[in-house]
Amino acid sequence: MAWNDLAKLWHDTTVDYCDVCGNLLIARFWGFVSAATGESKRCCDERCERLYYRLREIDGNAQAVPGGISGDQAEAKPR
Amino acid sequence: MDGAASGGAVDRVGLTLLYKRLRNICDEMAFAMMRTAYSPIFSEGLDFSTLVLDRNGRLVATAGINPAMLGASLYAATWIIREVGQENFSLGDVFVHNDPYRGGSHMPEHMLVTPVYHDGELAAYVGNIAHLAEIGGMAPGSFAATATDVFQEGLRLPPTKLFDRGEPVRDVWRIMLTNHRTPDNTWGDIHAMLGSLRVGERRLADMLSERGVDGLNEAFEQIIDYAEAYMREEIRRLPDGIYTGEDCMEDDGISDRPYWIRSRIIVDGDELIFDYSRSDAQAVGPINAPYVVTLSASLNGLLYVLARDVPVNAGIVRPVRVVAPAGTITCVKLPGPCVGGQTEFQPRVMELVVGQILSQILPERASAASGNTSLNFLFGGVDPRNGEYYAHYHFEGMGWGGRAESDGNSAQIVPHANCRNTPVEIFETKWPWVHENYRLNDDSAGAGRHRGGLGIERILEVAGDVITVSALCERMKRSPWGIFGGSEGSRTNLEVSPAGSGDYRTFQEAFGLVSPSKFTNIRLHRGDRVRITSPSGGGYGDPLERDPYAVARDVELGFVGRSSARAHYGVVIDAKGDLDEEATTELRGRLADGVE
Ligand SMILES: [Zn+2]
Repeated sequence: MAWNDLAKLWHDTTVDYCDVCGNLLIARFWGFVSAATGESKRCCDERCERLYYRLREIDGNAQAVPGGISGDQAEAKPR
Repeated sequence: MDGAASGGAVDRVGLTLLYKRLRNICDEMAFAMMRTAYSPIFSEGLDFSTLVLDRNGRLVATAGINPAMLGASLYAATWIIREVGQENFSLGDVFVHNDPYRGGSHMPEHMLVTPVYHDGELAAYVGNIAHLAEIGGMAPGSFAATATDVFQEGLRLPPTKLFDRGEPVRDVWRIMLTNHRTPDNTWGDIHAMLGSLRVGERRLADMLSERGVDGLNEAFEQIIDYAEAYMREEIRRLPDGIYTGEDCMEDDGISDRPYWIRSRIIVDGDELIFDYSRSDAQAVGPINAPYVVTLSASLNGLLYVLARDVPVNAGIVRPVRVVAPAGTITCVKLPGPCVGGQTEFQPRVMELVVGQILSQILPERASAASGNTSLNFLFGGVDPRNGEYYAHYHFEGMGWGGRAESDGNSAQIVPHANCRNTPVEIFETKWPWVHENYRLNDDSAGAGRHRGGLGIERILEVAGDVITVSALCERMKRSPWGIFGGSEGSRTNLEVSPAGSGDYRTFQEAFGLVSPSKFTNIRLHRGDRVRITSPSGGGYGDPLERDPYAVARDVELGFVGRSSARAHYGVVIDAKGDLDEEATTELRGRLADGVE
């Protein structure tokens, strides 16, 4: 895990997206290798790396609950 | 202003005064733009934002004009600075930028940003974002509802110098003015934006002479920290959990299928995640959202229910994460088209967040769906009165959803945008249309304890030889939903009637289009008429719980018909127009029992 330059040529006007949140990557990115899948990820910063693992953790928990819902959902429902 | 983040360099009272002063600067910048713009979309519609940013480009304050631009206000300037390099800014530089692939919301919205210096030191930035009415592309008004890539949507500008050390960069101006269909408007509107920047610079200069560069930026930091602390406190009060909901865009103008937006909100202590990763892949047509639009929609929904008084700045986004994977409808990948993401997708997502998801835990802050379309109607041609080319981007008022504390507003622009209706007089002075009718669409609102607001009906007759029209709207196939027992609102309708005929048909029927709500470059001729019916809002709560006197007043005002009062609200109005209390009690009893 480390900061990397995007290192684009001045005439390259394409854009890059964070592999975790989808946000735009400008000038540099935070790179890490997923401990779960071995894939290389390019993301906004360390927060996005933490977000990646938090979402995996949540999904791991959520799969055990019917409908993928967990937590203290209030009884009131719309409609 | 008080709370966890106060104290430090500036005391609470001082911080409040300072923030109010920054808000006033933003307001003054907004008035400067409103009073000097050429296009009614600025002067009447108020489709713009004004911003004060710290020396790193972080948002410190913004005028309460157009929340739809929140995501771009938070990120676009920071990204311009990062891409250009702070060391490459100089006194008198102005950058322009409208790239939805670099933090813009959609291409018509142009951001101008300029650095502010004090004694030769970079101190802050001021900026604004405004919707230019015409920026080229495949359709007059630059809202190409059938575009299949971003190149059809107009002239795209990455961060580009418009002024270099105070001197206009003429080549850039000439490229813009050559590619826009109404260059005079572009010239006037961009100068209105420049004037607004000058106002901001002057006012910030006063503050800098009082506090210095470091002093002012320390205060900015405190204001941002305060907003973060405020948001964390509000989020902490919510029960931890995962809350889900979904809604869809009814089509993309290219194929007749819905595109689903699936959201889950994860409340996790004092942080909150919006996760859209289960949404449909990006559409072929222009209903996709750039990342900042999805961010805007999420934050606007959150602010609506949770923190209506928080200072809107870079602090509000710190405890919030938005996951919108590139290549889905929630984060369009280059070169996907996205002009409708800002006007159609954003309100859909904001109301999904408010009325379908956070309503599960905060029903008292929720509201039913509004008409939930900006109802974009675009037109252009040559005005026979002066021989000049014109083009305009028109958005329409509609009904808002009923909410816990009141009925929905009527004839108002979609809730995420705060824009104003354009008066008939302006319409007919500026463009060759004549109004036959402009009125509330009576008896259309979703019934509820608090009913939806009413949409409008507008009938326009072509008064030029030819007008080329386009449209990009929603809610022609799916009605605005009610909540907690409230009824659905009514739908959008866009119809056309040939000259001399009294018969109206949808544009889809008349011209054999794929979509009734999204089409480009239809040529209408003198005497043809267009009927725009905007949707009404859904209702909140059981209509049988509505105060019968409120229903009687609605009947008196013509907002609700007598038969609707009876059928939906169980309210009986006698021959004199007064409420019949006894008959109403009896009828409501029967309706509640399911007998009637
Ligand atoms: Zn990211």
